[in-house]
Amino acid sequence: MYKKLVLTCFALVVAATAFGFMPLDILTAKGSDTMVILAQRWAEAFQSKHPGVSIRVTGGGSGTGISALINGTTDICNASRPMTPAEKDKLKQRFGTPGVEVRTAKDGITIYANPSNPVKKLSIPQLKKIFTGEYNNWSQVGGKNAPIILYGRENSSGTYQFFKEHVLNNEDYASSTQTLPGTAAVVNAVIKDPNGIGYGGFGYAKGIHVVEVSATEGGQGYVPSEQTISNGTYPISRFLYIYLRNRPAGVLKDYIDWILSAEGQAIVKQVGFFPIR
Amino acid sequence: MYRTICLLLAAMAVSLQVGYAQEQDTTKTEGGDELGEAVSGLGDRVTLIENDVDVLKSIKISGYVQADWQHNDQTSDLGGRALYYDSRKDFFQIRRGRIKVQAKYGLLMNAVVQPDITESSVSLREAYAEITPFKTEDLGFTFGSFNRPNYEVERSSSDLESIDRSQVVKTFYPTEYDLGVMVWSHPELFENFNPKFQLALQNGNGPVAETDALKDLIGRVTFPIPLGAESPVQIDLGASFDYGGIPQKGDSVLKTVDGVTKAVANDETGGMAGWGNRKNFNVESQIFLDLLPIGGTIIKGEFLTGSRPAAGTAATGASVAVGKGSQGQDSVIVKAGSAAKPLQIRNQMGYYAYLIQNVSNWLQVVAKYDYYDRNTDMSGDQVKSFSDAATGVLGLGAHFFCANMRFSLWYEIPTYAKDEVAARNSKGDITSTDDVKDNRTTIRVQYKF
Repeated sequence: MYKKLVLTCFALVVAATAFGFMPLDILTAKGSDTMVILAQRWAEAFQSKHPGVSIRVTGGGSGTGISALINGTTDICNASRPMTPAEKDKLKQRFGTPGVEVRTAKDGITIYANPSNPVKKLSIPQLKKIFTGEYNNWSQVGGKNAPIILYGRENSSGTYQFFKEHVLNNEDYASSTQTLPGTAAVVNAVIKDPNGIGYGGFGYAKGIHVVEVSATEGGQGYVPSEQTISNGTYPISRFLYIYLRNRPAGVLKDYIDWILSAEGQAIVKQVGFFPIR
Repeated sequence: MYRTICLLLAAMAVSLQVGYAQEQDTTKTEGGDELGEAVSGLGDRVTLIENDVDVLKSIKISGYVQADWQHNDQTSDLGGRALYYDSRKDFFQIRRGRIKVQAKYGLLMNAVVQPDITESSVSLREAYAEITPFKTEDLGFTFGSFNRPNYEVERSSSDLESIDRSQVVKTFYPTEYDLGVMVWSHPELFENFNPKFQLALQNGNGPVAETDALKDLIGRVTFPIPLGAESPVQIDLGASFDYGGIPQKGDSVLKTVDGVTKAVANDETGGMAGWGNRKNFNVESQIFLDLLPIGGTIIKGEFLTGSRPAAGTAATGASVAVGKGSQGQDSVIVKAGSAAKPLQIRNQMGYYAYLIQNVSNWLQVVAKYDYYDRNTDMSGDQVKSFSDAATGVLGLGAHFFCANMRFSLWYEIPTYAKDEVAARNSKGDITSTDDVKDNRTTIRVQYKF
């Protein structure tokens, strides 16, 4: 009886191993809310060319996508920030691979203000003071005498992390910052609030005042564009990534190759981000 | 006259209209103010709620439950010759039930409390506070009950690829956790090169009250070989040590010299008779290979060597001669009035090696060999008891992952070192076969939340 049980269990292991070799053409992509529209457009375009392939795209934030990659619940992780060494180590310990990082697009973290706001330019040090709460009135940065209302993202967002690291120098956001679930919500809030300011991907900057950003106080200000991002003059630009557990093979490899092709990069431009090649 | 009346009526009408319009404007303004105040009040309430939610979000509750079914081939220890045995033969058990509560205050502070709950006991495992004064994860201090710095110890039991830690690790780092303080640093010296340094001072007594003044100094350094982020081969190397001791009042210790246990001067502690040395040095390596299309491969292992003191064979008392005769020891005189036994210090070594193959993202097959020599100064006929024997365990298993669940099947085959088996055969301890039937099968269901 016992021997039969052990033999049955090992037969199950062998069968499961064999099943593990079978290729499946259903891919799941999870992660960055900044990239969710871009990822959906990629998926739609790729599926139209490959009818046998199904790609399911969901958001939730870069942190959520990275956790899903480590837990094995997604095939593709979209991330608007690079994975941390600790996250890479978790992936390595669980799956034996360091993960594969694919740079798919470039983005400039854009500073959104209400169209009625007269402030045209802000420096990185001023942005830090605004978002950490040290400055709380627009008159402190050359604007009208009105309170600054802060809109930002949730802490699972890659944009939240990137902005915190590169603009706030890892200091905490002001407690008055209103956190919103997605860049589109930040843009909508700032459009409705004459005293509002927010940040997010350039792809969402529609119908809003884009504030010029300078690296230093008194320096030349820039808005994100293909030119200012590629020549490095826009001070808060970043890559948008795809992370995979293993080196891609089969349909997954075809999909990644296609994203990096002229066709995939054209979609990057259509959505409002900047192609990497 | 008629014209005058018409003008008066027109003037009255205009004045009435103006008055009505003014009234309407006033009402509108008042309504606008009320709406503005209501919105402002709602905004304040939302801010308060968000602040409360932020506090709650800083508290994270996680944990896991491991429920086992275990079958033991052997139900008796056969006089110390069976490594795995259980008189129940087959049984269910809660191997671990952990709930971890973590409170994080930004990048500055972090506190963790983790009890272990099983069907027979509740015990404290982790309970520590971590401070990162520079608000980065590069440098920090840990205070309380936390894992001793060692590769297999620091890996959560819920992530271990074998059903339990290796024999030598369980001996060198019993209970895994200890009370003390640790400084650690994990700087990114250059891109993709993050060495990790840990230095801890701990009681050396596990997560229970300290019984003596002696402390253990434990250190570990790990670093990756910089092969590049794109390389399909990643190699991590590391080394760790533990230096501590336990007290004794005798002026000699028992040690194995030329295969015989005898009393010798306690010279390893610099002539100080007050304590017995506990020390070990370990080297480790983990190799990660992304070469096969089915999934990543991991080859990893650690070699540990050192000495462990244990209570000697002498009785306590004013003046005691120990074990002369069958064990061949010399006499050990315990100082008058002392209640302590002389310590027996054994040189030991052990190692473990894993071969892990992932097959897609839901199946992992594992082979592990784990060897532990309890007394490296004895071999062959010299081994007379299990306390000096060497044992190896070959473990074979598979893990199935499904969302938060992990189903594990694990089969263990213990063996004794060849020379000692020969020794026992020569003494007639084992007559029918060299290998005692003490294999063990475990089926585990783990839920992690």
